[in-house]
Amino acid sequence: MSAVVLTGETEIPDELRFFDAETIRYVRAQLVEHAQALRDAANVIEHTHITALEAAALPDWISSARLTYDSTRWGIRQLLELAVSSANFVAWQYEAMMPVLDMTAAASDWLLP
Amino acid sequence: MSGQITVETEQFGAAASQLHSVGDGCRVLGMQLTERQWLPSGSWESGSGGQLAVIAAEAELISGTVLTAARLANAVADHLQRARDWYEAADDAVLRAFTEVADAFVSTIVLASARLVALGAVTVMSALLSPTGIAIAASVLAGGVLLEKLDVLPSAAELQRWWENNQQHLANPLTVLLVRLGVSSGDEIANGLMNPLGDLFPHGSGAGQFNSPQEVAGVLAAGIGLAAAPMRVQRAARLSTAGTVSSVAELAATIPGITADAPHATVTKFARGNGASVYLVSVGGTRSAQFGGENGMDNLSNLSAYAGADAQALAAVREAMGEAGIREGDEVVFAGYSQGALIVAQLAKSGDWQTQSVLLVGSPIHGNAIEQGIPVTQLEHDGDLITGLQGLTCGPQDAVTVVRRNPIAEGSPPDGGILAQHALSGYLQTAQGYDQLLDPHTVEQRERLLAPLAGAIPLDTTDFRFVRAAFESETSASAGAQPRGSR
Repeated sequence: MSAVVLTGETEIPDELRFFDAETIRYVRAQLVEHAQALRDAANVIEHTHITALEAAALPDWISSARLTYDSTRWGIRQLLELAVSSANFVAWQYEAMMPVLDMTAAASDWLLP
Repeated sequence: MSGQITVETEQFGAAASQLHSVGDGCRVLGMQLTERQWLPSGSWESGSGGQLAVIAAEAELISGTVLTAARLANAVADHLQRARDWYEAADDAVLRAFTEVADAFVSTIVLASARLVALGAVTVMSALLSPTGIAIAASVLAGGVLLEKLDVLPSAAELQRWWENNQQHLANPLTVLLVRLGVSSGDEIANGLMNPLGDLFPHGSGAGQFNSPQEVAGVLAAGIGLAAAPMRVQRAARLSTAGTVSSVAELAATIPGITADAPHATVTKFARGNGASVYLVSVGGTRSAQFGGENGMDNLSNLSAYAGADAQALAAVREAMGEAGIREGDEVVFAGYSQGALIVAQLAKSGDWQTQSVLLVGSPIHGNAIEQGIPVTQLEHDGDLITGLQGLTCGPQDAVTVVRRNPIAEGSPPDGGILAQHALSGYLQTAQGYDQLLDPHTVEQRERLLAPLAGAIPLDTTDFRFVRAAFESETSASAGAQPRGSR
């Protein structure tokens, strides 16, 4: 059961007293940077490394070893695509947390001016 | 422009280089992601600490995935590199084996034919020495003249005209192959001709003296060169500096043409943005069919350069480079056509300069011979007999790119002559066509060739002519050239 502090007009839960709007905004700024870094990384992997991986194809190579080569290249591509999807997904999660932090900061501002 | 352009390269090295770029790039990216603190400081005081901790843990996993991909890509690249070395070694061995067979076959046919002709000549000569033989010879001669008068047999003039009108048909890939076979077996044929009884001796008895066509050329060049006057390098008057080079066509256009007043070699000094200098050395083709005549770019120089001997035009270009201010260790880009290609290939191979890249046009030597990982682009036409002088070669290795075209897809023009496909003008069109190819591999190869001159500003261009000393005064007077140096 949370303690309640009486201010005269409003009752403020302990949890909100604990939140500092400035700290929350600082956390939010880091989220923006992290999300951008992940989007940048996904972009580099997708447009530079996967493109280079495709350019490493050897269509004229006639050998049973080519099957292994193509399989390994396919495997690397799957890893890179997984990294791209994951980076975008995690970036989205960071971005999705921003409104939550905004609301927490606004509440903190409102309740503890 | 007729004829499709095809680009041949060593594929494994290019693929390995792509995979290394993926591996190295992903490794750097993975390290950057690992070093990042994904859980923002102050998260636990924000009211969303739990959610952010889960997201940060997910972010940590991404770097692991990227680093795994990097390790795999680099490992595959290393294996590909090793496979390339094995393939090249196998290619060399297979080529050597088949060359031995082909050389033995060709030389046997040529030598057997030569012996038959010699034997026939001896027989005919001995028959002609008898009264009956003389009578028969006179009758055959008279009959031939009569048949020619009656237009049954063609006259010598008609045969000459027929040859002039039809020689262009010999400029085709099959003839080039025959030239390659002939050149490849040149040492065996020379050994057989020098030692008619050589086949009576067991192999390895020392009966044969030449081990390669280049050795044959070297002996011939040395022999003929004894009678030739020494070469002089003359700086020729030039009104303007060469332009910038941003395409293969522009690079090929720096090669001197074959008109009478064109220089034999041109050296241009370029300045890069960072202040460093790079020199472009462009050498033209053969100007004279003579062996040791006035013109330094003749067949004696051809033989000498083919043998790799540091004499004649090869030495003259070295001297011209020195006169243009190029010192050992300087950065140099070479471009050469025909004999010029032969010369620049030998110069690049010498390792005396930091050769950045080489353009060979209609070359009698294959770019593989340069080695050292130098980017080489080689323009070849399918029916160019001069390229047949390369002999039997492996496909492009290391950093060599062969750009191939059949410029006369519908057949040679009637007035083209046997060397129609060797024309520099045709090769300039091939270079333009190559510039227009946009697939990533080709763009990368082209950039490797042009990168040393990209954005560089031409500062000074010097033209040179090579003249044998005995003819120097006459040539200087006619061309207005200033003699420099002596050899």
